[in-house]
Amino acid sequence: MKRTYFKLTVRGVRKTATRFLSILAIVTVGVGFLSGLLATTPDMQLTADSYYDANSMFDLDIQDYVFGFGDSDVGEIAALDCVDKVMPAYVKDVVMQTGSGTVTARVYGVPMGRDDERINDFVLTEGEFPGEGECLALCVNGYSSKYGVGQTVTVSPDTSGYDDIGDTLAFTRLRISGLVKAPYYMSIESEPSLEGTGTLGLVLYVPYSAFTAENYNHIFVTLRDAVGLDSFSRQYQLLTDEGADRLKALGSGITAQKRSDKLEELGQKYDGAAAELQSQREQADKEFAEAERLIEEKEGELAQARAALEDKRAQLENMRPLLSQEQYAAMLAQLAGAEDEIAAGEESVARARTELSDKQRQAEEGFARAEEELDGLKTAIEDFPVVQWSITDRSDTVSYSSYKSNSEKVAAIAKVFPVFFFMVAALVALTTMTRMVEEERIQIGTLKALGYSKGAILCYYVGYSVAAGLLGGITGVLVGFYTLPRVIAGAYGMMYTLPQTQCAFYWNYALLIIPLAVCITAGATLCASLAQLAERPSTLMLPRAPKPGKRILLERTPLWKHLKFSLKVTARNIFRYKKRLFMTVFGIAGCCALLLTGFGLRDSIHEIVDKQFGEIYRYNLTLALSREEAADDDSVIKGVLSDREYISDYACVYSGSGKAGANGRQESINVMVPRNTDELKRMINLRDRISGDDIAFNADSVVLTEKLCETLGVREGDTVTLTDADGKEADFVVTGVCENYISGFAFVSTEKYESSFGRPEYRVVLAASEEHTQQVRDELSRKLLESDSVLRLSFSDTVRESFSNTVKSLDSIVIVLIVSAGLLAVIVLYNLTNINICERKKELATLKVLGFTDRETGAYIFRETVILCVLGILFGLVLGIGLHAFVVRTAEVDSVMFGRSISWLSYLLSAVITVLFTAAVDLFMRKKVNSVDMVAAMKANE
Amino acid sequence: MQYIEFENVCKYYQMGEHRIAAADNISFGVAKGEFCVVVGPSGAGKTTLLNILGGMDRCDSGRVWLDGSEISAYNRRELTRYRRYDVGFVFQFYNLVQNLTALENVELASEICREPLDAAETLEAVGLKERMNNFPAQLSGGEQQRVAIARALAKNPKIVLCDEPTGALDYQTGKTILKLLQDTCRSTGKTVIVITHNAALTAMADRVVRIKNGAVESVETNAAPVPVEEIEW
Repeated sequence: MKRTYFKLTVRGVRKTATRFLSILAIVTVGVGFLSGLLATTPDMQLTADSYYDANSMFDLDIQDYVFGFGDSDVGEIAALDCVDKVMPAYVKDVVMQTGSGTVTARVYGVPMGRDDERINDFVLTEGEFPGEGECLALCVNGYSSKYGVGQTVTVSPDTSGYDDIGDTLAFTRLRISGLVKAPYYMSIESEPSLEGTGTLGLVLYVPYSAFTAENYNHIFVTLRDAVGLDSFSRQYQLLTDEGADRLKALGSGITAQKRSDKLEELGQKYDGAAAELQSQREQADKEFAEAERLIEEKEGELAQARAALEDKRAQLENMRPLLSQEQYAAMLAQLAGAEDEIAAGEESVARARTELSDKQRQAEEGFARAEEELDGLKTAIEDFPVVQWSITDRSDTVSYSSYKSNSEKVAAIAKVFPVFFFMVAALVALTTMTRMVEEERIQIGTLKALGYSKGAILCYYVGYSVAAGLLGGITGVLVGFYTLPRVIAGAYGMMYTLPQTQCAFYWNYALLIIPLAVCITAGATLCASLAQLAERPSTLMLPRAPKPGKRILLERTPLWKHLKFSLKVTARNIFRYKKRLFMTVFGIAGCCALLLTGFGLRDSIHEIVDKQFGEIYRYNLTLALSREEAADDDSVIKGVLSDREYISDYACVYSGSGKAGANGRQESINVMVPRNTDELKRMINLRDRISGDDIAFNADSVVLTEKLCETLGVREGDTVTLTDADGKEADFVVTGVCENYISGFAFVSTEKYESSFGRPEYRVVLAASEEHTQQVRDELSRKLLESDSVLRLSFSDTVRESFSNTVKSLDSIVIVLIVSAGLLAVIVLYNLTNINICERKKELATLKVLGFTDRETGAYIFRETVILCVLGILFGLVLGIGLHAFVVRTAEVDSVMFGRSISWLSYLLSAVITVLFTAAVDLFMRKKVNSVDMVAAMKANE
Repeated sequence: MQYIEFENVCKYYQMGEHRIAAADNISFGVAKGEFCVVVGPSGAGKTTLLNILGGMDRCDSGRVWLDGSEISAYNRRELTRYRRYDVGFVFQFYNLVQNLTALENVELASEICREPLDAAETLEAVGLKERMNNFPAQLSGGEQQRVAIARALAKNPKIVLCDEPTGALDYQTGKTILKLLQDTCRSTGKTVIVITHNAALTAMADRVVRIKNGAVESVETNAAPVPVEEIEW
């Protein structure tokens, strides 16, 4: 480019700095949002991953609650080449008594030296490492520490197996020496437990010595090569799955061995006991026989004695006449004494007999009991289960899985919104460059007259906007990458205790977005300038002829006569500048649509919780029992279920995972079958979402949830293939599509399910309780967990609360979007109003010369803006409904259906806020209108 | 054929149902090195002619030649080159670039030409030695017009076309400008065409073309052109 021409372009940029900056600004905003939103998910995951790595978060957790682990097991696991580090641990859930009541606590026995290497390490935030009788505490499920350093916690008698607790724990009381936080428990959402209230509230760390149990019951493992991977990536999941398979293989060998060892041991015990019993029996028989003999001997003796006595009596009687009275009496007395003796002897024999039979009876009872025990042992041996190691990974922890799904939600929204911003950015660039080319008409004409080619002139304008676009893009990317993720992650900060969000620079995004931004601005410029540049120099140097006034359609209507003059002028003006009309309406509509989508999204998400838990689920307590009959014959369970104070209604169902397939697609779903078909609707409100009508549930019914039907592409009357947990398949005709927001369900009638799959175990109890306070929930849990048949219990309220928390954090994202919509509206409106005023400077100057007041002059312009604003809002609300529906469908996470409706309040808010923005711009621009210099504007280049 | 030749040139403007002829079958010629004045009342079509000759507009029918080349047959690209190398234009309202100084305005034009004159020298020649680094806003009307003339001259074109160059200037300044143009024509031998509605100026010209209602009324040659300082009006 020629030197002077270059000078011209540089000066041009400087002179029109505001214009340059406005393009730069809009590009920065659009790019900033896009890049920021795109970077948020990877940043959030990066932060968590670093936190995990810094604290050696486990990759696999091996549990064996039957045999436990010994040091040899630890050695064998460590010997596997895929394993990096191994840490055995004791884990026990207990109920702890604290100063403020009881809490369910999980006690970990791990190496507790300050410098010891630990897996699932923690960070000390207060206090110090524990000494004798002390522990470290981590508060779960709460924002503020309810437990402080120095507090003492005692094992509560409510703990199950309290009487034998000494077999596991070496302590009954601990002093908290320090507080910690750990990545394993970084979420405020609750982990389930089988103790106390069923919800974990406290985690304690103690040294190995605090446990008396012989065998570890957990082994935590980290895998080689895992540290370098992103824990949320597919490769990581594959690696851990592989590792788990290896460990499972190793485990089945070890457990099989242990099992046979145990069985042998038990077998020996049995034999020993049986033998012992046998010998004891024999011994007893011998002793009893001996005793019996002695007694009989004694009886014999006594009988003889009695016979002798009788003889002597007879003799005496015979000799009576020969004897004197005294002699007789003396002999009688002698006989009487002998009689007494014999009597006594007989008494003692009788006693001995009773004693003997008592003893015999007792012995029999004892033997019977021993027999029973032997039988019990025998059954234990026969029924001894095949034990497998249970291996879980990070995705089974509450904190990891909730974090993953929450961070991914952002990515879903990120894909949709910024497209809109870019469209608006293009619009602004277009209008601004059009204005610029328009203003510099004469200069362009002159340059053309001098012989500069179209290309050279185009270079200037395209270069101008490309420079603005490039600078804006770079700024936007920098701002977006380093601020937005922090803001959004901060919104989640309430739910997770994480270190500060790490922000990374994503070259792949930057290199995609910046050129896109530049292309958009360049493209807009080309559109704006090509038309101008095609004109001949002579025409260019003449100022553009003002558009001729024309009669508008409205004039032909009878309405025209009744309009005030000012309104007539406004109407003509609006239709005169059609292009600007369209752009203003579009800009305002866009802002309004964005606002409505933002508010609507918030509504949709709130709706999930309200509708699902308030209207669709009629139950709020779920019990998983170990046996179906327990609901009827377990006294604890039955007692609670029939207690009207707690439970108003309940039903037994089968609830299991399965698959549903149709049209070549297959989805994982939950299958629910009631024990009695009529009972289902007492617990689940089956209704059509749009009409609100009740859906019938009878012997033929197979009802699927709406989102599931959408995904599979089925409607009422179509056939689906259901696969149960064992892999059996059967076809069913869909009889209804019901409203549902969380997870996909297939509700199948008892008759239909049983005829295809056989009778399942109706082991799940859905119950509706009236009271919804935490206190009542705790009471209920405590009561129910006393029963051995309760495998798991959960309250819908708890799930509802955790969902509400997710919703609240999404709120802040939505607010960010709303603010940005406002920003855009302001920029667009400012731009267009500016252009409006600049182009009609002569008009305004003439008005002023004629004597219009400032207000009247302003009204001249702003009346149009008001009407366009109203039009824009109406159009925008309609557009917003469409955009909202689109966003909801796109941003939905797989198993969740967002509410589809928008509250009237959202409509109102969107409209009002748009009006506010418009008014703000208007007020600001009034000043500009007032400062139009009559004289200068009138000095025409005619 | 003359150096500049117009042959049956017509240009129409369509306004709704009306067709207005800005140039109606115009034919005339100008010899090389002549100082030609085109006169006529306002709206006669003089500017249209000049625009066509200057390659800034096209005629609807007819042909135009410059130095043997048929300008009316040029396509866009050729017209751009034509404007660049062969034509120097002076406008009634100067059309200087506000963001450049006087010197830079001239350099803007000279830098794209094949054999330009030195910009500073040209400005000196028009008497603006002291004002070279001022912006147009800081120059008076006469000074601005002189910059415009310098710009046209620095291009070293074949012809210099001036559209009412003194229209926005006072009597004295206007005379100075015209003298400058006349002297340049004499000294450099370039063909200069000046449009004006001031009939008195025809005395200074070698050739006078009178235009009325879009048509040529008459073409006269002046055997003895008068130096402009002697003309009073």
